[in-house]
Amino acid sequence: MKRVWLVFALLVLAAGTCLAQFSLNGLDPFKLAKDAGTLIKGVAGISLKEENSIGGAVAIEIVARFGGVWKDAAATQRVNIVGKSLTRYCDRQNLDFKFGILNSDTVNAFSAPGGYVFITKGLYDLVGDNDDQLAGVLGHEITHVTQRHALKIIERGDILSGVSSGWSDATAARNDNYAVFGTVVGKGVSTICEKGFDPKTEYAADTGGRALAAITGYAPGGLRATLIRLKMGGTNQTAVIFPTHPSLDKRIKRLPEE
Amino acid sequence: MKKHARFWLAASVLLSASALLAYDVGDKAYTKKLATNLLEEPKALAKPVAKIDFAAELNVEQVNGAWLLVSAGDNRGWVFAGNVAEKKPSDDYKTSFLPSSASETTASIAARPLDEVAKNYGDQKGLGEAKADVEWVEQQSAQVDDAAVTAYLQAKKLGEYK
Repeated sequence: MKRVWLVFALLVLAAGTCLAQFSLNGLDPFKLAKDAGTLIKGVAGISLKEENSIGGAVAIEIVARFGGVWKDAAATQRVNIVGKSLTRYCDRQNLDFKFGILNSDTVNAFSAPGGYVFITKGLYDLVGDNDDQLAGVLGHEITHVTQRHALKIIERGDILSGVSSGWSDATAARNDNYAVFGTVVGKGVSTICEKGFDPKTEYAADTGGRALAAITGYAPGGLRATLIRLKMGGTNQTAVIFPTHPSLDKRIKRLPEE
Repeated sequence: MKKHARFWLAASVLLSASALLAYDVGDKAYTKKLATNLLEEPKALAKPVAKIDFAAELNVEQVNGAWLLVSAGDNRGWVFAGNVAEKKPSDDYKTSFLPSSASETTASIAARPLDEVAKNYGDQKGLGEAKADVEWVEQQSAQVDDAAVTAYLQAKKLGEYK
């Protein structure tokens, strides 16, 4: 029994250390200790309410990191009409997907739990007026959301396992314990924007995105064509293209030509 | 020539879509919408013959391109493959569907706006500008409602309207 408490104390300490790199104004990470009962209790899985809370916060972080939103109404409407055509046939019909364009010349795309999908202006310009390629990119990001890729990482995080379980029991969200919430969001942002998913997860998003584009009626080779264009963009461009993903060569090879 | 090119492009997209479908005769499929119509014919605008609840198991009896002839108990009819799932959706999802009728969802308000916890998070981290940007995206997105998506799919002959 003593060992359980020792492990728990280390968990709380580790979470506090983690938060030192993810400071939240005026909050004491060690407030976690007060929620000991909740943390021990734990709850499996993240509910939709919690997914929306995490996803909204992750979306804010993504927008802040990539130059804000490009407020071109026509372009944003186009991304939404293509994106929502795809989500009409996705496997999580209970989500409310939103699609936006980040005001950044880098070429990249991101998604956050709950249904937030962003592509950069650089990527929007690259696909131009080709809806098949746009659908391929959006399908990839939609699949990350429907298959809960970021949430699975949050749920299985080594240090965060206790913390996220405690948070999912709702003390963080409902009692203003943003220290715990900030840790969970930090894990999501770090995965999506910095460390990236493992190659297996990225390939799953490629396959799922291709299938979604195809069933919606877009050319299934749209994503592959975009990846080839990215590859041909040269060293300067590829240096900032999907830095979090497996190599373009490997992804192109795995996708069928049509 | 252009006409032929268009035909072959459409045919190749259709064939690719069929090839991507994982369904064969004898497979199971699951409804993933709150209610799924089974149709008299493999056409989007065909007459509905049955309405099936969320997460119901369907038996695939025939495959015709992207359309499946399925049965569930005494009900039998056609369904577009994009409207069903290979795996049974979580029962938890059933309680979290958004209202779908136009009267319940307006075009100016996001159907599920930025969560309050996320808003507070943005404020506490000094990310008010980014928060406002996300809300702008939500407003733009809300203007593309179900009716607009259906009209787009029909006009472009996409999805079940192909």
